[in-house]
Amino acid sequence: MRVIVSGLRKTYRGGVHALNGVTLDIPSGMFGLLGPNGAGKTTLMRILAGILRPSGGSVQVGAFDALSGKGQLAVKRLLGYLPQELGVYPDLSAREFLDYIALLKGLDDRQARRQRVDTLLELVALSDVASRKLKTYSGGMKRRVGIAQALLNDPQLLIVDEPTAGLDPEERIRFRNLLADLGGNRVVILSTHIVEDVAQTCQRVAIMKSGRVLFQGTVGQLTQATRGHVWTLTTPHVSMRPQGDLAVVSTIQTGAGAQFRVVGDMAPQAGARLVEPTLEDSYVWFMRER
Amino acid sequence: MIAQNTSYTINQWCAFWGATRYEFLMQVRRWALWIGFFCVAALTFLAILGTKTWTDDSHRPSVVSAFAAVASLVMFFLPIAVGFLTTDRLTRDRKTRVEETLNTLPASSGARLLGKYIGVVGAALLPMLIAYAAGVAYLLAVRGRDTLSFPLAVGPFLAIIVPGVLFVAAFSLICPLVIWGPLYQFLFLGYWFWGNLIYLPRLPTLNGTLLTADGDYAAVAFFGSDSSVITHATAAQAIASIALLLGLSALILLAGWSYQRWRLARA
Ligand SMILES: Nc1ncnc2c1ncn2[C@@H]1O[C@H](COP(=O)(O)OP(=O)(O)O)[C@@H](O)[C@H]1O
Ligand SMILES: [Mg+2]
Repeated sequence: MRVIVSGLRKTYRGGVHALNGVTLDIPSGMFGLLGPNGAGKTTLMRILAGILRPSGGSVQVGAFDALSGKGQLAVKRLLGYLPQELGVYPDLSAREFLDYIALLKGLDDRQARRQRVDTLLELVALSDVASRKLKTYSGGMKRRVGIAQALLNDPQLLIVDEPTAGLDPEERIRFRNLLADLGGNRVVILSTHIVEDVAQTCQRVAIMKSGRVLFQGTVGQLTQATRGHVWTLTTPHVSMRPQGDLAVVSTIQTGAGAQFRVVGDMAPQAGARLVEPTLEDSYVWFMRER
Repeated sequence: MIAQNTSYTINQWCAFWGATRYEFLMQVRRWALWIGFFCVAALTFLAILGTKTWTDDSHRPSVVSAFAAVASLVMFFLPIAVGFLTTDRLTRDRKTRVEETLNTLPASSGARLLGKYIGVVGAALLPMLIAYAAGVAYLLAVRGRDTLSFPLAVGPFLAIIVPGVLFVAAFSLICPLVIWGPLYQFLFLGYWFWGNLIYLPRLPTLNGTLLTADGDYAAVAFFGSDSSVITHATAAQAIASIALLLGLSALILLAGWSYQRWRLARA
């Protein structure tokens, strides 16, 4: 399975250019789509999921042209989609909601469908509360129902939009672990504005900003590309911030002054030391460009 | 795991059944449904307490005409509850944001809409059936009508109640896609009184025309009921009336389906 997006553009009514020629090559495995709010991640994912029409460009999902009528139908069968803001019917239980979606996904064998729903409830650790109405669920629990719903048809293409946004740290870690196990033979596209999500789960990553792709490649390549641009810099006092074309990633106050971690182009200077970039450094580096 | 079907599309009957089942379930779980129907049924009961046409049925020798009179009674105010309770069924997919997920599924929008419609109709018919059965039971038990005639009660239910409910549910499901829900309910209430209940000789109305949705034509033509503004009707007229109601229901559903597809294609 492979998803190939080329020259994708989307201009919303009203003239917002949400995507300005996005080209991505996404092989099997976990793929992180990283970018700030408004970068166009949701727009891209909604186009991939077939609920939004692009203004131009092409999308190839496996053997199918995802923008043709027939291709779109085929992709729907392969697709699992967890929208950024998942809606559920509050008056159904998790088990009922999943059964409903499973029917809409065409799982017509009653026995197999039941089993599938139970397996997924187990996977997302909701078996104990599966008979409770969804209106009693917390945000994190709903999100887990959402991922279970997306997985019902064992999708070859799994799209999850900001799955960890708004979750408390414990729920976030739990959700990340869940996602990390889903790669394998399928394409999993995960969008997030939280660098840590990608660091923990994805082999490959693309960075988006203002509807453009600034980088795509492996996580290793990303940090590689930033090497030589990340420094720690010590100053006598925290008020003496590093000057120049630099972005401060972190500040630590020490007894002797302050240590800054900065990203940018900087001539070697006293107190400055080149360090190994982390994913977060790389993200900051790509965000400050242009 | 799941067998990979080689065809591009899924079994749409499966999707249709899923929507029917769960829309029915969600609707019959609403307290508003049962409270609404109970209140309207109580209102109907109060309204007829003092009217001789209803309380004294000695002029209805045939048992089926008495059953038909009960069905007509059920069709007095209860369709208003049907209309009100159906108004939010389609629009709430948007409000709860379930729509976004639904649109990514391989189930066709037609199968989903039709399933929802049938589920909602089923949920509306259930309390109406209960009200009707209560009336029939009253005729049999208290009025001493022939108990063996009980199966005849099916006819008036199918011919008088079901077409009107199909009609009301179709409009109340689809119209709120383009009209604000409460406004639709207000208009619908007005329509029901004007088109089905009130009969003033000078007022132009749907009441008494083939388009009347309360089953008057069937009541008179098929079952010899006398409880409506129509005094004479042929079987052909009754069939035409039912066909008209069903045809219009199909049309409005088709229009709603096209509208949804158009909206999705425009996104
Ligand atoms: N339905 C819409 N109509 C108009 N503009 C939109 C719509 N949805 C998103 N946008 C705009 O498109 C841009 C990209 O949004 P989005 O794809 O949601 O970004 P992200 O998911 O990365 O936060 C933003 O500027 C946003 O305001
Ligand atoms: Mg988004």
